[in-house]
Amino acid sequence: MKYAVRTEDLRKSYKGAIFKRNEVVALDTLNIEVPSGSVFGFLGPNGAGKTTTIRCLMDLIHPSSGRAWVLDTPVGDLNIKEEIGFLPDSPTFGGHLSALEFLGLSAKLLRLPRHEINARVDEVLNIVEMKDYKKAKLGGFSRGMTQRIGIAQAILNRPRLLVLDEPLVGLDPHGRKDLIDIVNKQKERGSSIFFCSHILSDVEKICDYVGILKEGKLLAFGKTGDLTADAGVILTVDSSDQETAQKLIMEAKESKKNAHGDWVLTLDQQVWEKVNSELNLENKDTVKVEKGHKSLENFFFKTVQKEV
Amino acid sequence: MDEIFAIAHSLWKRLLAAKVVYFLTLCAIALIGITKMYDVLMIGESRNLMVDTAFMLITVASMLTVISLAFDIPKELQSGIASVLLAKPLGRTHYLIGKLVGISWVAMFIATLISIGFLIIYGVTYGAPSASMIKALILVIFSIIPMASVVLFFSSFLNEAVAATISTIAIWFGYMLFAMNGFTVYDLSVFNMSAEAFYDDNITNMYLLKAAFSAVLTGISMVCFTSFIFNKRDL
Repeated sequence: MKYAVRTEDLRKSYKGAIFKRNEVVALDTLNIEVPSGSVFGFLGPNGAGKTTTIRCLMDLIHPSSGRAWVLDTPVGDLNIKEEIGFLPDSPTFGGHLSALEFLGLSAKLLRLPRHEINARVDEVLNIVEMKDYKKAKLGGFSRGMTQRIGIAQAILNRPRLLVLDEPLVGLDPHGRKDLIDIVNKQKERGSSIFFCSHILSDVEKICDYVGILKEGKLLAFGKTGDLTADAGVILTVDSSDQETAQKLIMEAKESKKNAHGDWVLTLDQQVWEKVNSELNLENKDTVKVEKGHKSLENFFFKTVQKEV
Repeated sequence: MDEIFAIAHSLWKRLLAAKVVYFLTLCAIALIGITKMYDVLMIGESRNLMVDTAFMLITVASMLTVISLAFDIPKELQSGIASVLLAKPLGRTHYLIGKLVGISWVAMFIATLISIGFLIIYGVTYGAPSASMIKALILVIFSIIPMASVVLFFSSFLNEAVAATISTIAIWFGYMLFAMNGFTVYDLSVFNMSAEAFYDDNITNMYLLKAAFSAVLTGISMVCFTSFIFNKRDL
């Protein structure tokens, strides 16, 4: 199987000041495997170690131990960087350069063929809707405009892996929608996307895989659908069928009555399988069965709070 | 190579876009010109005053230009610009060489502008400058390479203010210890603000070549040393 990103016991710690011996662990033996062609969302509270992971993957910081690969190549290989696009958290670019000059510089550093540079720069400026500002100096740009230019330089080389650190910050709702469209288009092209964000609803919409990190430790990792599907089974028992209701109330983890007087019961998956085999509930007219789905937001807070 | 020149060109463009560079260059040339007015005060020795002033100003202007690198690199590291650049297929050593080449171009350009201004003023006032004067000016311009490499070294791991201060001290003492040109330019002294090289008729072409070679060698050695440290650090 091909992986866009893979880490093996990746660890990063910082030593304290000269007279302080305490060691701060930013990342603690991280093991993740993001399949090629997928969109991976990295979640976690501030200071969880998301940016540290990204900086390790981009070879901007050196891990204390462990190993990491991007596009199945060890981190640090210069040639593989030609196939990666990177947008850092709160980017700033040389204010003296115009958008066109900055993207031209980026294109040269990405080793794009000279004859393709102008066309490619125009193409990405169109995608991020910044063509009208191409001659304006970056120093005068708002945060959202800077973010758009950051996205433009990240997709300039039509990357196989796009690494985005908080790409939605600073964007208005229109900008957020545009970014999600860009991410989806990159995915359609076959690119893998690795990004971290605090906007969980957007992550849920676009990510195939999700990882939750807290204090440097990976708390959860898996397919978005799998992580959010584990909310048990919700049964609605008609008020006329008190006998079944009484039996199920004993097994339910949550029970309440709705406005019609029907019982609404939440059962764990395992409990559901047991009682269904005993009572054949799926074929009863008085019982309505629904598979429970929790939002990524619920899952995130439950996972993070469980650790606390 | 393209990456190195892209970084160098970006720095060149940024520094030469500042109007203050041209203003200070004009001020330096004007200061050299007005030394002629001190003929009476110098008891007929205003020619020496002009030469010393010119050499001192070219050295100081070069030094101030290369010191700007002590602000440029730490600022790029702090603001994240360096992260964006180094996430591309640009080696950290290439980044450093690009900065060194860029700042050397700018400092040499400014030093050459002031030198040309000085030679014109000197030529109009005292007649054609001697070959040894031109060679001495070339030696000063060569000294920009080791000067810039010293600043590059300190700015790769210190913050702006500290890097600028320590670099200035290092360059100043480097001149005193004749190290700025690989121990070959023994007679350019910033301390007594004089240009003794001008009065030395023995600057041969071989000496000039040796000085250039030493300057480049010093620069390369410093880049290797800086690169070793810069590659180890987290950005």
